[in-house]
Amino acid sequence: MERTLVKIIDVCRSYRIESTFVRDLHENGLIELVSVEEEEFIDEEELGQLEQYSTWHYDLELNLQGIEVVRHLLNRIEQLQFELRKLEGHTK
Amino acid sequence: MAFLDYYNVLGLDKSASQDDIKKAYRKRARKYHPDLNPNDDEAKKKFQEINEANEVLTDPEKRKKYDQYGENWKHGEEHQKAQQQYSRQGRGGTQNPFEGFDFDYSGNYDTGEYSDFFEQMFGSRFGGGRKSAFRGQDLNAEINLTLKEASTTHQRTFTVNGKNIRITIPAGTQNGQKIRLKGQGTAGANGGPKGDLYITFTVAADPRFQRKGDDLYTKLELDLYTALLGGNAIVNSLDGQISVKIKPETQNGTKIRLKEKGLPVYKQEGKFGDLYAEITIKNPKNLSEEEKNLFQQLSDLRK
Repeated sequence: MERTLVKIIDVCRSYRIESTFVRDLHENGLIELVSVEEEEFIDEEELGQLEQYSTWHYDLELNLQGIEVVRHLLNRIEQLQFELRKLEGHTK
Repeated sequence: MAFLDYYNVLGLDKSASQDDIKKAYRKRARKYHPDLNPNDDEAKKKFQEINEANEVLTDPEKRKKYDQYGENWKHGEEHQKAQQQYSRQGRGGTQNPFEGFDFDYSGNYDTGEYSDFFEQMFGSRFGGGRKSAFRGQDLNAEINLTLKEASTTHQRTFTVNGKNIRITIPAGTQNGQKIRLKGQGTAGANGGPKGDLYITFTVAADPRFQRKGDDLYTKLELDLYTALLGGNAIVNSLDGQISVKIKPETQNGTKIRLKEKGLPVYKQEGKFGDLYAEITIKNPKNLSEEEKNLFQQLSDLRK
């Protein structure tokens, strides 16, 4: 298994988002960043997540606290849906 | 496709201002965005409608056409013919009422994929074939973890080639797993790109556990009497000791499954593998004469 890390500066440029937004997400524990000297990187696997948060923030106008709440509730929904599928499988 | 009343979709009337449309769109998008309604086809459909309504109503030209033709859009062809005829008579122009409408139904909510824009930017750079003769050398580093360390998300700082690297190691990291830090290898020659840094994680074997993916296997020694009569036993897990109930007449080699007491699943918060304890029955040694006699009696009872 291999992970690739991409420079935040490149990601911000391509998504047209502010690096402060990415750092705020990191500080709120919503994404992981890796520091090498002064440079910051993000795991390629987390780009989908970052893109999603960017949509929520820039398109749906959710602030960081809102993103955090939504993330938490979505995790909960996904877990409940998973359990529901499992239970449905048992009853069949 | 059936006619969609875009004003109704956004809960507006025809006199709605651009600001009203924007507000109504955001409010509904927050409610029906597929990101926020996982596996909900109804919400997805609704969101597509909202998007479409927003696209049309926020574009003055499209809105004008929509207001003009509205639910008669199905008769667009007839209307067009009429318009053409009208045009041939030398008055006015003709236009398909929906020409120029460029609905974007897809949105940007398929989280499994990157946007086209991003693919354009990074796609070729992620691909292979970059190893030209002038590219800098790749560097390799190894991080050793104990099984316990691999079971928790933690930060680690280390130095490679004179650079300090701080990295978060997610719980559930597998033995042999690699990460690549692009451009952190040695400098290229003649202006060529820098090489990459590969970090390999080595998770040391733990004598107490055997790892199979996210599941852990351990041995549990039971004395003969607990195995025969039932009782309690202590199983070692990564987080400490767990007391388990032993059923009477438990056989040698029986596996007890301790649900979600294995390793965390990599990057899936709250999910864990299982812990299996395989029972080995330990027979008593140095039997006294009395014990031998009692075992003989037991043996005779079985004959």
